[in-house]
Amino acid sequence: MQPIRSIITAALLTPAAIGQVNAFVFYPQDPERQTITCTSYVGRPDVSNAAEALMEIDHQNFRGVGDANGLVRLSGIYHWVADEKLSTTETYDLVVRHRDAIAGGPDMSASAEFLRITGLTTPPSTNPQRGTWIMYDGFNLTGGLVITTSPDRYYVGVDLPANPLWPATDGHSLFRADMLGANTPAALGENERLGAPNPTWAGLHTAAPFSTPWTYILGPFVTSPNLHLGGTDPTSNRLGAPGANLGMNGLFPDVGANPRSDGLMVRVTDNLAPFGWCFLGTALGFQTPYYHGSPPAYTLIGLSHIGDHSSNPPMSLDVAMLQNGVHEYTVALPGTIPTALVGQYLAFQAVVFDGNTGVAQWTNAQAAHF
Amino acid sequence: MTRTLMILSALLGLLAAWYVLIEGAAVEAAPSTVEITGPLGIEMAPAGAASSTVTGGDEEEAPAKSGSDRLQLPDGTSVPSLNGAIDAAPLQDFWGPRPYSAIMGIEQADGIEWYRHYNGSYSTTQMVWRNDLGRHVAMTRVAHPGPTPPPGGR
Repeated sequence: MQPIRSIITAALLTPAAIGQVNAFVFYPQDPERQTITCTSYVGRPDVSNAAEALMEIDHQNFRGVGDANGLVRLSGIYHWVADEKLSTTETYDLVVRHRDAIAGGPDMSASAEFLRITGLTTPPSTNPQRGTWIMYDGFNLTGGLVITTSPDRYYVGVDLPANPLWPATDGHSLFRADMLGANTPAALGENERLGAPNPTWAGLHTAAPFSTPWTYILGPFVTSPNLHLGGTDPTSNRLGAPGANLGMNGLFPDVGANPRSDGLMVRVTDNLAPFGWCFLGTALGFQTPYYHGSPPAYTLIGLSHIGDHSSNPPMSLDVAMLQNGVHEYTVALPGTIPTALVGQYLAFQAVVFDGNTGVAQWTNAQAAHF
Repeated sequence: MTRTLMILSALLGLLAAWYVLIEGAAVEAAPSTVEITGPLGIEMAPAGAASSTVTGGDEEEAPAKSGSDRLQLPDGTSVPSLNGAIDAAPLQDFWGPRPYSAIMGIEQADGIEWYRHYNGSYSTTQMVWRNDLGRHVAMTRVAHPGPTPPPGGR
């Protein structure tokens, strides 16, 4: 095994040669490649009050997001701005913060901020109507945020100032997909199993933060490929279109057969190697992070979270080529996952190999909590 | 549980093939070029490749360099970075998986200059304070127009 830190420099230089990034968004549909039909509402974390809309990246659910050989490297933040009045610009901050080790949830102290970038604005417009900006707020890649502490949970989001005009006449909100457990009248949205925890938070500066029962079109930019799990529930119309729910339904599929018996699929996406080879594997839960080293013919970036090279190898599922940055693989059709797996979880991860550059990189790993 | 073990055993049987293929891919899957065709049929150049599409104001063929006050565009040209940005990341890095649209002009809002693109997108560069680095660093930002949002929810 090569020393991890000895190859960090090479990993950091890689994006400059390849270009582009991947938005790691946890939402029922892929906002970069699919038509979004599943949005429940546009919303703010705490109505019209000032608050941070925070996406939680928890190592119980995801590992290796933005993996730079064991470090976390984020290259910017992606989100969809719903603006009630495009002709007035909106102001917001970007924030990445640590968890609160005692209370759980985000640590809202200033010292817990890995990053804060203040005073960003939406672009000019003469349109006084409602509209949407798809924001790519990119850091200089060589100046990306590098988190060296390998946090087991951290939060990525946008900080919205108070706006009493929202939603009546003006204001910035985000596209959101409500969980079934949100008890809102939304016909569209997430489709998680019973007992799934809330995936996002409202970060308040004058009171305790609280979790929110929806997902946002929001997430960090990474240079590693993305892997999402999709849950398929043929009895549900919550997606608003055919297909798998890539958000909470994939992370928390219902396989209890009472009455749901969801299927499961994997979706690997990559803007950097849109026709790369995808090698997909799984394991009975996350495994100890393992650096394979780089075989002589190519460079392999990132850590395996589904097993090692010899004594505890991952279980192979699929080998295929991405098409226009996407590859999907059906793990199990609805009605076929045994109820014996209830209470268990599987972990999935892939390698994407770019034949043009000779660079292979691990995707993030994701759990499916049955 | 027996069925589960059978499924897992079958998956385990694929492991050897996985490693054979991952080793072999380095030799077999190495096309010399990648041609990306967007949904509108516009050919997008691979990273670093030049294109003949040049539209807008002050483009130059020379690439942006370290310490540069220029912004590298996806078509291989460059334009002045806006708002005093130095060493801004190339626009391609944050344009997203969609065809590039050329610049048609500059507009301003709240003291920030933006390039307006023919497809209605905006892009800009600006220096921001980075508390993690303890210095100002350039950002490259893109805003694409999106669909009409659904109603606001409480």
